[in-house]
Amino acid sequence: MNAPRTLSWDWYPGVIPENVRLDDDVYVETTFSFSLFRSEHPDAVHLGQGASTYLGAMFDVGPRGRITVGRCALIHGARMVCDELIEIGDYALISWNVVLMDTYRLSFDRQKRREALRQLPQGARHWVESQVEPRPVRIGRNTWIGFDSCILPGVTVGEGSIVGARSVVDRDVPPHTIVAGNPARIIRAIEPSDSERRA
Amino acid sequence: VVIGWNTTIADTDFHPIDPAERIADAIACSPMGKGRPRPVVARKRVVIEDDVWIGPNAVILKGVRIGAGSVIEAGALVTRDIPAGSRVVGNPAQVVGEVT
Repeated sequence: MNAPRTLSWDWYPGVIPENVRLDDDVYVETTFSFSLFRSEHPDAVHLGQGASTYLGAMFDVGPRGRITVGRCALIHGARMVCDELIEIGDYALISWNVVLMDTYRLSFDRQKRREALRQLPQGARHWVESQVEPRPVRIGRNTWIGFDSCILPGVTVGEGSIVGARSVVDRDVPPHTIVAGNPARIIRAIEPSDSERRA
Repeated sequence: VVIGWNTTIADTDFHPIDPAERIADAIACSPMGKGRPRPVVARKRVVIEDDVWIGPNAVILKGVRIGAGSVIEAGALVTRDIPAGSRVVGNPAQVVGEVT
């Protein structure tokens, strides 16, 4: 943990925050991924051994937010909007432009949204206070989230499942299932025979 | 052919469908996988025939043939072959008419 908190290859003049824990063999392409990070949780982000985050990954983590990323998980470019908990399992593959959110931050009540806009200080980059209760998002082990998909608050994606490109997932995905579309629907189960179907 | 901005055309699945192979791929793609070969990933050619017009933000997935003169509207996600002269909308994309 006494390693330097900057990255020698980084184009962005940032640091990896103190409450971000990196296991061995973790690759973080740029500290720009933490430019929206403001969590005060003592263990706010944990990247497991062999996990990697690339250019588009953004840890948009509020004051009490916490994100855990499993072993060898690959976050090619996801925006993680987190006020409570986002769990990403081992070997998960998260494609580009994915959005994982455990909160909408703003209320569905339009008067409350007006209040939030009024309270926003000039030049502020974030909402002062989240107006809604977050609902944790869990991305299971060995899952694969296709590009441009959006995982909405409270959703659990079961182990081994696949979310097709451009899907919007508003409810839980069972294990070993392929879902796709907006809203995401079940396409089929993943059978063991899929090993033979490749190529 | 006209293709709008931010359109994605992919002739590959990028990763295996099979969960066990996907674990192998995740390891091969990770910083721990230096030099390790990646599993075989399904690919299939994409053909976009003459005079097709693809709108902005559309997605054309692996194995799709888009017939001559078809119009793929903005944001459509095309997973299946499209007959010539079709107008296509939505996610997943559906043929909603013909191009006149």
